[in-house]
Amino acid sequence: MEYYMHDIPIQDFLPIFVISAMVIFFGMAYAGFFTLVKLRLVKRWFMILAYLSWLALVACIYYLGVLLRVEPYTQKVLIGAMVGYLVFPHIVYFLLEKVHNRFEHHKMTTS
Amino acid sequence: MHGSNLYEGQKLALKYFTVAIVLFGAQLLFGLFAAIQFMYPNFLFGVLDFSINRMVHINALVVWLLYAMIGAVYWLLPDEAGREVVGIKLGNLAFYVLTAAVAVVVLVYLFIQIGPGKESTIWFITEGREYIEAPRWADIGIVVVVLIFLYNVYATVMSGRRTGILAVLMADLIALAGLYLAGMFYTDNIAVDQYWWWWVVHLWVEATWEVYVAAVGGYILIKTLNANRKVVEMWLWIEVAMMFGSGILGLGHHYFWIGTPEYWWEIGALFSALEPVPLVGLFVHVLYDWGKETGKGNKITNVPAFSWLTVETFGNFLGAGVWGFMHTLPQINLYTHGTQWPAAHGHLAFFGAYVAIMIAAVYLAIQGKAGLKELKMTKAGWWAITLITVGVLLMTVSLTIAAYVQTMVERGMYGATWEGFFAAQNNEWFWQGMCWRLVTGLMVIVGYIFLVYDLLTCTKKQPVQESEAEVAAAAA
Repeated sequence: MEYYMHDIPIQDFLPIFVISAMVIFFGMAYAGFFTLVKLRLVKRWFMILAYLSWLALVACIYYLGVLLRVEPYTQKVLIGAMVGYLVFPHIVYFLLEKVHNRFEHHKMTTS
Repeated sequence: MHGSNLYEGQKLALKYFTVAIVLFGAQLLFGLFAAIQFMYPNFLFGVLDFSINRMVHINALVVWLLYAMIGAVYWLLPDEAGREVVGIKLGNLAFYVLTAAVAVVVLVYLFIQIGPGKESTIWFITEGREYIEAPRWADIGIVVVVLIFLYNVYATVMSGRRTGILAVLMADLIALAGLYLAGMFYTDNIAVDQYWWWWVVHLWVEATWEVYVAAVGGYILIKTLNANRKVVEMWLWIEVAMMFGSGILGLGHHYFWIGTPEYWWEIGALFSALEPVPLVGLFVHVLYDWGKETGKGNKITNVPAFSWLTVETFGNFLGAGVWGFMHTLPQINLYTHGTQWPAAHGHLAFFGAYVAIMIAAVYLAIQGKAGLKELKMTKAGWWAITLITVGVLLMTVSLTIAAYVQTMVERGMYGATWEGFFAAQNNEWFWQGMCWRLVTGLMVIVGYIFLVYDLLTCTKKQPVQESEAEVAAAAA
């Protein structure tokens, strides 16, 4: 397999740094809003913000891929990663809830 | 659990914490000297050279964190296992041997700053490998001390209660100790040598230390929030899986330019991109526990420890996640490695991921030593957390500005040439970035003074409350 890296023009440096930071911020915003809504610490409509954050994350990843001139293989990996990240907080929260409920139920029935 | 009722293991933990906080001060002092030398290269030239300052600054960081980590394990071990630490006398002996060895190593660094590089240099002065410069005699000593530590932990857990937190720690400590061996031998080929050297530096920091922090963080959540142990331990296993899953092959981002095959570009890029995911997970975990437990009416029983844990969550996310991802992918790392980018990332990541949680562990021990049911935040504690956190954040921003100049001028415009290096160093924005780095460094040092003062006095400034011992006596 041949590996090749394109040169990056200097005017692209700043957008790359900013967009890379936004990727992580929107990633956290999605997981954070999702958890806060599930815990009922904020109103339910905040879930819209969670999914909007995920959409912004996808847009940032796409733009970052363009700026970095990634190969077709990496493009596919990035698409897969975005779908995976959409599901990720759901799975984590599901597991946390299951354990929590089982433990609470166990505590109530044994007390 | 008043001071006199502490387990011997916990008394040993307090010794480790004490040395850790002293070394933290040494780290800041030598960092200050190095920051001044960046701006005024003649400062202490020939007395305490930049190369030595930088080395002691980073070595002190690594060693104080290791001291604090060992201290945290000795603190939680008897509590979790429900029994005294096995082999505590050996543990105490190892502490004094290690402390004496650290003192000798640092004195040798300071008194023999330059000289020929011979076989004896490797054995008695320095091995010369960045971040793990300790001479070979000290290396061997460290291995012996760590083996004693491992024996203490394993023998205690085997004969006591086995919790999920201890199980994770036991597995992690084996990896932590074993990886150190990869940095103890030389090869003739510099690429091969660097290949193994990164096993210690990367795999310690981005795999085993992260897992360690997750375990200690879980313990702190249980202690400060009365968090549900089952949830904490289940989540701990998920984090361990994610951290090892992304952290081990995340090693690839150090293999981009050291002469290793180019397939490491793809591996490093993919797994580096995955590395922030466990950090998001850690963030969700703390948010979840905080939301659930405060919703049930649970009070935070150690406000300073919980506050530092919160700083850890955000700091780890920002420093390791955001600042890491900004310059890690190989396409952009070609232009950023060797500039101040890794310094900006390293300062915030180490502070966020490790420094903050170790300070939280010290506050937990302070509370236990005084036998207090609750530990409130004092004014000095508030100033400490504010000055240190804001100081490190602003330092990171300052270094990022300097780094951006280097990337644009040195790498982009001049193509990584010698001329480009000096053009970037003499750029006004680079200079200003380094000036602000010095100012923010001073801010952190003032915060450190508040921290030491608070650790020494905070338990005396608490509102009158029944101690745990008195509550237990009354119940009996």
